[in-house]
Amino acid sequence: MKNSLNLSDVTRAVCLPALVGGVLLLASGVAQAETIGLVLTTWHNSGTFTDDAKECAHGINPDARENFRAQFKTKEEQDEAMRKYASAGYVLRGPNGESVNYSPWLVKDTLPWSDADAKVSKGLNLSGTLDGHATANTCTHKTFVSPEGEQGIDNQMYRSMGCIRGMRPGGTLDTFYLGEIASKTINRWVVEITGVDDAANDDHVEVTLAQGQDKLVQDSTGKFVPGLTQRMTTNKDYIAHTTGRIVDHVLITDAFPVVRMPTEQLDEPAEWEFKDFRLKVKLTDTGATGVLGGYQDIQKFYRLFAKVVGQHHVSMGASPPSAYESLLRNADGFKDPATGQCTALSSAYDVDFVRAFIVREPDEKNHIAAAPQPSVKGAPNTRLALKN
Amino acid sequence: MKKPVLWGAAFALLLAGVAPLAGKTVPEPKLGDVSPMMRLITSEQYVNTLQSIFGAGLEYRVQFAPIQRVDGLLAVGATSTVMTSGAFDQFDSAARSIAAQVVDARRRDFLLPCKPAKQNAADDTCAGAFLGGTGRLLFRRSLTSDELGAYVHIAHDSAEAAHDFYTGLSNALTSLLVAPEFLYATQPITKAGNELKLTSYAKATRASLLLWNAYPDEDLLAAAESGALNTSADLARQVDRMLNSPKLEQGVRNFFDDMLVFEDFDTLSKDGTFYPAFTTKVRVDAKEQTLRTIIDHVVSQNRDYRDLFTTRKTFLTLDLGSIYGVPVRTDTAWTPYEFPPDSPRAGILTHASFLALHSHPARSSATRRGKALRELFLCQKVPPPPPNVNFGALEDPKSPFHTTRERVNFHLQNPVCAGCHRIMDPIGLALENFDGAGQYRTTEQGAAIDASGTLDGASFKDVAGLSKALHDHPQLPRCLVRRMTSYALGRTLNKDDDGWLQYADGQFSTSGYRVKDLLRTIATSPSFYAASVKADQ
Repeated sequence: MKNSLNLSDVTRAVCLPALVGGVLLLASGVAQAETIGLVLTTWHNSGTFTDDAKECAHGINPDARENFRAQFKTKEEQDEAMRKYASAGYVLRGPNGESVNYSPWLVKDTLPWSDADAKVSKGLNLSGTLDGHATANTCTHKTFVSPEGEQGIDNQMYRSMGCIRGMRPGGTLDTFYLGEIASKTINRWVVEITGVDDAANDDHVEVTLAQGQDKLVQDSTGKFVPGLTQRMTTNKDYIAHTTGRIVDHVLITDAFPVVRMPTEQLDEPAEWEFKDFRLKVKLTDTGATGVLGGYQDIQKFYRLFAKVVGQHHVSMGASPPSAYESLLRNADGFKDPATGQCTALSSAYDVDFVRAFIVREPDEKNHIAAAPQPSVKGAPNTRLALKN
Repeated sequence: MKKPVLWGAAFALLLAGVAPLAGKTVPEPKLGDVSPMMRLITSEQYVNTLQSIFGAGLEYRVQFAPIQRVDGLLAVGATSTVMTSGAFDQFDSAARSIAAQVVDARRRDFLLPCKPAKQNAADDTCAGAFLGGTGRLLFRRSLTSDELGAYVHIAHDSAEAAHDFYTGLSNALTSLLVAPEFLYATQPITKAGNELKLTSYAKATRASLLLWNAYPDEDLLAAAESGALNTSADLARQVDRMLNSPKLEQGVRNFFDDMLVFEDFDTLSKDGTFYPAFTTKVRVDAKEQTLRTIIDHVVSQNRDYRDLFTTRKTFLTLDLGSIYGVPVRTDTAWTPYEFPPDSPRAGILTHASFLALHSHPARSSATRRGKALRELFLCQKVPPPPPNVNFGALEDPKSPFHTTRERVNFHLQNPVCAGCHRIMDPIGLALENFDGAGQYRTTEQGAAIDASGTLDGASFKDVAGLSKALHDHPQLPRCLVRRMTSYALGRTLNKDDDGWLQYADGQFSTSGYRVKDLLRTIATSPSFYAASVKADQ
């Protein structure tokens, strides 16, 4: 924090005569801190994804139908399972016809499964170690190097999900979720950065992450239009706060203890939950690009996975028992002190934002995150319409 | 202090065109040409009229052939439009669609006044009841017995052929909806002594088209039928009823839509590379924003027309917020908004509608904006450019001109161009703080924008100064009087109208430039309902 007041300070200063000095400080010409608003527009799994899937030892993972055929080897067995469970045999292949979507531990797939294995992934150093050695709260895991060369990147979720067809770039979930971010306000994430004295470098800013309530707008080329308004939810479950800093235009947040966010993917309502969530994005005049991530609890993540991926097992190309087993195997965080088993996976997602005005409902603080207009090289200057 | 008050009253009367003269008043001057004319119904009038008869629940998908703008108004073009076979097809198609919806099983019970004795056969009594009542509203007078008989005959024959009463009624209603008596607002005249004048029905139609942009409702027709429009007191009572009706909004909206050339929004496009925020939604909303602002200002609030050019009050949507660079809460689709006192936005000149409509697809245009301001709001005519103008120096990508001011100054080097550009560009340059999409800017290609200029002797340094200069320009209210009078009459004005127009100028001034009062002045004027016949008619 530099030598000025942030907006909430200003509000207090105006309201409380005792802080007249603060008002005088402003009047004397000290710059007022700014607020930056962002709204999420795109989301992809982080990791290395080659066209020929060489990061997947056995190739792209087999799906539920292939594992069904491997489990019930003869045509008679397959027909009987399908007859018995009204053509839902691909899913209801537990010993007593249980759904492997919701009881994946009841069946062990026989076909080989690939965990993704690569050296490079975008992401964050969540564990605090460079080599992924076990600590009091983490389990041993292999770390990645970021494209910029940063060591110690944690992204065990990529290992479990990276060889599932639908989770890869251009895959079913990747494509649909992208569209559903644009079209469904339930998927709206907004970021409000307050106390910004210098958008290039600031050693202390306040960061609020919350669900937004308004639409996104795309221009005729499909690009998201900056400068629109997003109302922040009043549901405290979906508002999280932390501090952070800006280094060479890159916002680096401290950890949000918990971030929960409602979501709808492939028309299935669910909920994201991250622990020790962090955000690292490069700020521009019109938005931000970077990565977000944190630890995702196995059971909570699997609940989302089962609803979204399990229900669409054919198009997603995922077999739940294998995926669940992989999640257990790759868990690297939030170690259970009693068992020594880690209960969560580090994760990372590539994200883009555009600038937005973030407004709070009347019962919230009435400050507004500013969203400058875009500027196009060579075009008439269209920036900064904040005096309107 | 009685004397100043008396002088003030006398001055007001002078302004109003009613000079005190030995206890008598000078009669209201007459308009020039009052010969009757025919006016083709517009898409909006068609929908407004049918909605008032059949309700808003029907789908009125009508988009008739565009009418040519004459002397600044579509309303003038509508009196000289011919019906081509292609244009008639659109009326026919709309008529069939609406007739089918009216007799649809879901609606017939509440849209028709009766049920047939048998559904699979003709019922002339029921058909007559419906066609007589509806035809009266469509033709703006009662149908003659021959006319009603002909339409009942159509219903009868069609019902017998199709073995369905409602099919017959639908065909007869279609015939009513494509009849010239409906599609054209004619102005039949009558003779009272030696004086010609419009019939009561024609008077009702004229007043209704001006104030509501629709044909008369049942009350107005009843008044016409009973002769209650023949005295000035009765006429004034009906005009006041119409001015206080919610339908006034659609009438005023149509006038300003016409005056501001807003049909050009239908073909407006912006280069997405330069103006990504100017989406299709923004294009639609920009037009609506200005119309909403006008309606609120001159109808709902009944404020001074001139203040439209300085008011900071408007209405915004979330999408428009990206153009104006302001947060817009979207609890409702449209929300009232007031630009703060230090904002450069004040008045409809600073709305995205005016700024974007009178710009190029990828850049602003001081010339287009200046021309539009003079023509739309001051009723001044700017000649088109000569056909041999060389735009090469302006369009050259390697042009040394950074700002619009530098580009338009180049015009002044050519005497052929300079004459007109001197009256357009200094006005438009004051709007250069807004780019071609209406977004605020302080620089253009790195160069600071100088938004100073002059308007007919009034100098200013920015758009606020321009708006104030326009607000105070004596021609601003005079232009509205002329535009609205021309709109009401459906014809170009000429010097024979000057006396009446000066009278109306005075009335408008006395009212404090209230648009509703100007409408009342026109709609209660004997000249508005006078008639004459030219030798060739």
